[in-house]
Amino acid sequence: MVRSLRLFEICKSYGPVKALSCVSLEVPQGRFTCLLGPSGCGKTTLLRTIAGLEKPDSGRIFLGSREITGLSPSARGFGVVFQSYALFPNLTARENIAYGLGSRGLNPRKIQLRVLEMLDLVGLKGEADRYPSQLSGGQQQRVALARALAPAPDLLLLDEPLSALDAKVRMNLRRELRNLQERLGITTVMVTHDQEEALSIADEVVVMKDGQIMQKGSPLEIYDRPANPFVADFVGAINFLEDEGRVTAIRPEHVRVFPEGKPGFQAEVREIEFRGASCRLVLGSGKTRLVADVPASLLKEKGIGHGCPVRIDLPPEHCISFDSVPAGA
Amino acid sequence: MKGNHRPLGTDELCQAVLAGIFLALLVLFVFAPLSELFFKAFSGGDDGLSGFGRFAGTLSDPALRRSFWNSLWVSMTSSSIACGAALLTVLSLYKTRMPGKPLVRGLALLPLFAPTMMHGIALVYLFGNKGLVTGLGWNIGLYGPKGIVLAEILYVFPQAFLILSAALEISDRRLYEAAETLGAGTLKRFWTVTLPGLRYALLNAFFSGFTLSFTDFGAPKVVGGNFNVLATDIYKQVIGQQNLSMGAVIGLLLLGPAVAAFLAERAVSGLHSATVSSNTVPVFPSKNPLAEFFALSWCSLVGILSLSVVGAVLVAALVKVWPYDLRLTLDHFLFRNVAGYGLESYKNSLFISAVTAILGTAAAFGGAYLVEKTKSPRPIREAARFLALLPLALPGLVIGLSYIFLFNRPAFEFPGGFSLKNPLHVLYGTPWILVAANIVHFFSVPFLTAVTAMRRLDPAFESVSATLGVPLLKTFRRVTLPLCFPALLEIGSYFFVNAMVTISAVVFLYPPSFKPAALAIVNMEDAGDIAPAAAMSVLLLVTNIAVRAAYGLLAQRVKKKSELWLGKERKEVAAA
Repeated sequence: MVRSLRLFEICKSYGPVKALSCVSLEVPQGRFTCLLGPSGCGKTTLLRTIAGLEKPDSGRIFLGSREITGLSPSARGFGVVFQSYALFPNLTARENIAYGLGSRGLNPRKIQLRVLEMLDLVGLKGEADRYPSQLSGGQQQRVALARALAPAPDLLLLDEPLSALDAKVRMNLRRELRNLQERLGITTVMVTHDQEEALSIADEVVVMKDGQIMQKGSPLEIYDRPANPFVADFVGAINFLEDEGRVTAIRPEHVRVFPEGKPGFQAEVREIEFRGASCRLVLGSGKTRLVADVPASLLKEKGIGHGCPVRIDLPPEHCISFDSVPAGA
Repeated sequence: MKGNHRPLGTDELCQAVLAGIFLALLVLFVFAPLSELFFKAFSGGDDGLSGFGRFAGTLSDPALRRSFWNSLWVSMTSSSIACGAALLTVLSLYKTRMPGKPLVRGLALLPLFAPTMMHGIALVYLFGNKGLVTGLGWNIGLYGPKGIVLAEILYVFPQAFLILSAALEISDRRLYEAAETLGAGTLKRFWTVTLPGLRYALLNAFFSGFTLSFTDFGAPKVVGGNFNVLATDIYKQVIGQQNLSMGAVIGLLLLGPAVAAFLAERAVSGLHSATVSSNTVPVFPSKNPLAEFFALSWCSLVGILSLSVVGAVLVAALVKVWPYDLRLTLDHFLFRNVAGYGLESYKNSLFISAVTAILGTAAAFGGAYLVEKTKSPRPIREAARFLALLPLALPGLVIGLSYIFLFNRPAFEFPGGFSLKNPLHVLYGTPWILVAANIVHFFSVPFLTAVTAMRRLDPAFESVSATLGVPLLKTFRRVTLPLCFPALLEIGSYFFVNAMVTISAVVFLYPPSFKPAALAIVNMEDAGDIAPAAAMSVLLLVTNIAVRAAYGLLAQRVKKKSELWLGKERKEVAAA
């Protein structure tokens, strides 16, 4: 039975502000989908609408063949992890995880078994009787995840679950989250504003802006073939070159840089930013400005330094054409 | 298959109904009595004059005008002096390393637990015709404006002290450090950092103090002499001459400046709220012997004054016949042969205060939860919020008066011979009308306390509850209530302490067979039984201090218990 989540023309306004304008979306079953966009793009509103915490002004939502538009959050029974985790501070990890199980008519022994199972799943067996304030940020995050997963929901919804964590913990948890999702095969929707996070974790990325979906596709599609200048600019770094009304865009790592003497456009090195394995060069030719990422070793080998004249090649297979540059770029 | 198909929003419907009930109660007990008061003030009476005509006539009455101006300048004077004194005390406590701070704090707040008549009685024993100080040869001419101003200062001081210390508690060390690194000296730091931060609190304290003394009735009753103020006028009109519509007009006059002060305070605090952030770093004052000397001298003076007030009342209660027979006795605590029912009235007060505390806490806390945390329709929540804060602007006398008008009315007649029985009429003449008036009179501060406590909780708790399919009531019981328990205790003790000492709202409402203790004090004082009146004041004071102490102990225990789950979180907030 196909149990994908489908949204049809969901609209939602707060007074004069349109949070969602006619959003239609299909979230495939068993996949990890990321809603990506800048703050205020409507991604969290969309997630809360799916959870039933916001009522759309219009539009319909289906889970499989069943319409769930009018159902209350509890009737939908989706697992949600909130940005703040919202763990109950006066309950232990165990009690937090058991919180949603009591109302499902399970007997106490079954509840305890399920809680142990969940603690095991997130690797917190030893911390069962600690209060949230006695756990680290990453551990709190896992308790929140276990609490959301305990009632075995059809759908897992994550609202910026990693944003409050340190960079290192975030990387580890990101991988764990993905492993967990694959193991359980649970359909998952995650909201994030971090494009790197979205690209690395998701099967499907939905890029949003101003309450509308700008593009939907696999991370590779989004990165290599952005449908519009906004997506190109928001996901990863990119150069926009205007020439006679046509706009060509190219990612910095695709720009090829040679020492003087080779064929190609002429430019000079204006800034060098050392980034460990690679270097980011800011190149200029007259008014045109171009960013290129090159291996750090290349600079040494070819003797390229600050102020050096260089030649540039833009491989046509990596060039993307648009009719405009994004606003503010 | 776990999709339990519940019909759309059963829980939400339930929340909306509960919020609707809360709003209906507020309309019934806050809005309806007030509208009845307005109606009474403007409607035509038996004298054949139209409402507005009589209203204008009353306003041009020279005696009433005099009372109005008297009230106005007396309140301004006492509020200014009390705020100045409170400012000096608060600065001593928070800006110096003076010793004995907890003692000073306790003494400064002591008058809060006594009925306002007690301040009057103390002044009579110190400065009255046969007073201690007068006997030493210094007659200040107590009865009249001087006495009222002195008594009101005693009454307003602890309130101003509370407001100002709340403001200084949140002052941020980083501002002082910034000022210091920029080379600002001590005096400049005071002018540029301390005072601007206090400006709004000072205005707030002044307005609150003004409203309190403008509408206070206890102190002018005891030491006012022939000096008339509005609060005593209204009492004379309603109780003395049974002139209810005149009382209504004076009630509106009382309401005017109180509402103006309330609005001014709201406007000022609305402008200011932005500087309070959760990550302020507390200030530790540096050593300064000169400042400490002045601070200690001033605070000693305040402490001695506070103690001498309580001491005077204690002496009054314990001495046989002042100033002729100075032997000590406990006779006055037996309340034999005195007006006002004696010990019976003390029991009545205990009952009323306990019931007020229980029902009031339930109403304030439950109401705040419904307004803050549920998904009931916005207009209901906003209307409820407004009506819950309205009593802050209502003087007790006005509440009492409007309650007579509404509750005493057996039925509402509508044009066309159609009439409706007044369901509230059954409360009239029972102790329950006193409970209702007390809850409304003191409702706003506990409501705000509860709202503040709830706003500190993660708003996602209710969403978690909803997505996990847990009824909101269970989350309220298992999470919200335990986390807000300290606020709950605070609210309960606030209701109790205030209900024990209040007279303004209940003076018009008590049934003859059920007199509260504060009223008994007024009656005894009226009949010249001053020593028993002092004894009763002492009894109330001791009861309130005991309740407050019990609250303190309980709060300490709860705090210890909750440190387990709050300790680290607090540290995180401080570090963030």
